[in-house]
Amino acid sequence: MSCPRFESLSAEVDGELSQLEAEAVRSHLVGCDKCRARRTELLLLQGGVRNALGITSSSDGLKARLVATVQRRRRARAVRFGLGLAAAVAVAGLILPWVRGKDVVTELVGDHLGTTVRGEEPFDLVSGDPTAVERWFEGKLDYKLRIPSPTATQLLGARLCDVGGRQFPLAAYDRGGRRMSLFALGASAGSRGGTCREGVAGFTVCRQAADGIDYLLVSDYPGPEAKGILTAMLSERP
Amino acid sequence: MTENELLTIAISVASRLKRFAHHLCGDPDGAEDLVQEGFLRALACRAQLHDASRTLPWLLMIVRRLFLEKHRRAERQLRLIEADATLMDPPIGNLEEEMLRGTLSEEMSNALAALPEEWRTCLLLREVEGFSYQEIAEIFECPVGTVRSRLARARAELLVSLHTYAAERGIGQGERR
Repeated sequence: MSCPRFESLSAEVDGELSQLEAEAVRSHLVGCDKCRARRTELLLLQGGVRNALGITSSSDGLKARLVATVQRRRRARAVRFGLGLAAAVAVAGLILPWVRGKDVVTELVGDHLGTTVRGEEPFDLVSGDPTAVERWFEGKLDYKLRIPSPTATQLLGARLCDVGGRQFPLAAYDRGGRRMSLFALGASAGSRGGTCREGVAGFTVCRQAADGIDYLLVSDYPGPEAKGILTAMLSERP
Repeated sequence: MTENELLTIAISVASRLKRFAHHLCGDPDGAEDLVQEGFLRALACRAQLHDASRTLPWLLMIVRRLFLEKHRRAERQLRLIEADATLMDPPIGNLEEEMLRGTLSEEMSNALAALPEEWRTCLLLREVEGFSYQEIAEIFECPVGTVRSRLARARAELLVSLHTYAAERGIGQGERR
């Protein structure tokens, strides 16, 4: 056997070669001074790296911060619950007004323009596969996102958009040469029929809830058509 | 897993989380911010963790994702380095004695600092944390082959640096024949 590649020796000292590979490398080492010397250096290198990288600084402050994180979360939940109850009583089930999310919506329209339409901001993931995009978002959001795959529409890619420290997922589509962005706004306040607004920074913005999540579609279609597209997208079953 | 259970585990591995984040961002204060933010995200999506024994790699993966979201440039830079780099066989010399005596520790630290962040972090996860290639691949969300290649490249770079340093200072007996 000729000398194994450096990568194989490196994996051998980690015990990460298959049994067959490991046996071949070990039988080679018996008769090759050069590879034995290299292997010894690799073993010594492991010790040197361990000493250099294994330094641990105090984590007491961090532990306190982790505890505080959980406490804050609990307090926020309690406040949200209280506010939710008060709001429910006050508005008797009225849908939260658009205006509350006006700034966020405007920012997201900017993301639609910069990413989906002009391509100035790159996608985090370029993929036409809705499953791959859903997988990519897993762990990045505190809810499970469903990426629709409507007919005659091509999924282009996805991105996480940051608006005021909050992360909003964007899925970009091409529909016959016209670009659309589907955003998720997070957990829905309740069941919501679709609503649309035209002329939001030059685009049509439709909002609709599905599976407990609020979605937002930004496109250049007229309101009724955009609303129909979003409804069709969200009525797709997984 | 409840919030309290996740908190208990996170506290028990806080120093390892901090060390990992420190190697990613290169700053102890930034490391604590990163871990805290990652922990908050972990609390929110803890239903996705099905095996409690995998909590540490899962937390590390979240911390790393968060880091990359904030430092897209670092990820792009790594892609460029890896596309460009070919794995060279490092020279073989007689550094055993020097390594055993620890006289190269300063040079080792310098050589480690010169590595791309993710290669160094890969070494940390392997040599210090003792993770398998499979576990490192899960943390980095990449194939096992990439982990194997990154570790080999990192080690080759380190050996090249140490041999160059030794040759410049007449340490060891030079190239072995």
